[in-house]
Amino acid sequence: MVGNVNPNRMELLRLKRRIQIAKRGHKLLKDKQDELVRQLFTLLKGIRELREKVEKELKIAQSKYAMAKASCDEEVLNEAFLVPSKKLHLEIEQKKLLTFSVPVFKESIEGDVLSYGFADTPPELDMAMMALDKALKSLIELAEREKTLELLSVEIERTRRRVNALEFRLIPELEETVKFITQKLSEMERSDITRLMKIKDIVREH
Amino acid sequence: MKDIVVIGNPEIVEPFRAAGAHVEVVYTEAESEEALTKHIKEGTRLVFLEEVYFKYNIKLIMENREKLFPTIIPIPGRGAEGYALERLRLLIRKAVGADIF
Repeated sequence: MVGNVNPNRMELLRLKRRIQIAKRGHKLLKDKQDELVRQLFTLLKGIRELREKVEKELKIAQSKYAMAKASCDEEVLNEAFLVPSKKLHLEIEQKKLLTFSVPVFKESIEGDVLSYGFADTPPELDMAMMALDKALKSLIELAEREKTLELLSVEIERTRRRVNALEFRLIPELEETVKFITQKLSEMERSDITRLMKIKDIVREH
Repeated sequence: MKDIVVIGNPEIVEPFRAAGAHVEVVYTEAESEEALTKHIKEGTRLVFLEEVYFKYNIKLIMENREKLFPTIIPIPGRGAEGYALERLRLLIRKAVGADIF
C-alpha cells in the first residue's frame, strides 16, 4: 500500500479517517467475538453428557432390536412396523443469536410407539421401542444444540478471521502509510525551506 | 418436505419407522450419499445419519453446514464409534483455538 499512494494532505486525511473507522470496527467485532465465545461456553455445558446419554439409550434400543430380530421372523417385524400409529412432527422456529439464526425444534408426538399386536412379536421388540421412544426427545434436543454449536463455531471462526485481518493487516498497513505520507510531507516542507533559504542567499549576494 | 429422516443400515433405522420418523434404508456408502443429497435438495428439516455414513459424507455435510436446514446429526451405529464426539471436539477447537471439550 505504501508504494502506490499519493503523498498529499488529502490522502493523509482520508487514511486517518479510515484508520478511525477500522479501529471502531475492530472493537465492535472483538466485542462480538467475546459475546459469541461466551454463548459457546454456555451452550457447551451439558452437551457432552447429553450426547453420551442419547448414544447409550440408542445403543440399548439397537441391541434389544437386534435380539428381537434374531428371535423372530423378519416378516413379523416388517408387519409390526407396517402401519406405525405414532406420528412425529417437528415445529420449527428460528431464534436470532446476534447476527445469525439458529433452529428451535419443538416436537409434537401423537400415538403410541407400541402399535403392533403382542401375540407374535418378542418382548425384546417392546423393550427396544420403549428405549427408542425415551431417546427420541433427547435426540431432538441434542440436534438443536449441536446445530446451534456448529453455527456458533462457524460464526466465531469468521469473526476471528475478520478481527485478525483488521488487527494484524489493515490497521498496521494504514498506519504505516500514514507514517510514510507524514515523513514525505515533512521532507517536502524541509526541502521548500532549504530552497527558500538558498534563494534568499542568492538574492542577498546580488 | 419431510420433518425428520433417519438414514442408515436397516437394523439401525427400522425402529425409527415405528417411532414416526421417515426412514431411508441404505446398504452402501454410495447409497447414503445419494439419499443425503436427495434430502438436502428436498429441504428436509432434520436428518439423523448413521455415524459411519456421516464420516463418509463429511465433505457434503461441511458444504451445507452454514445452512439452517437440513440439520444433519450423527447417530451411533456399526463402526466409526465416537466420531460424533470427536467432531464436536474439533468444532470447538477450531472456534476457540483450544481443546476445552
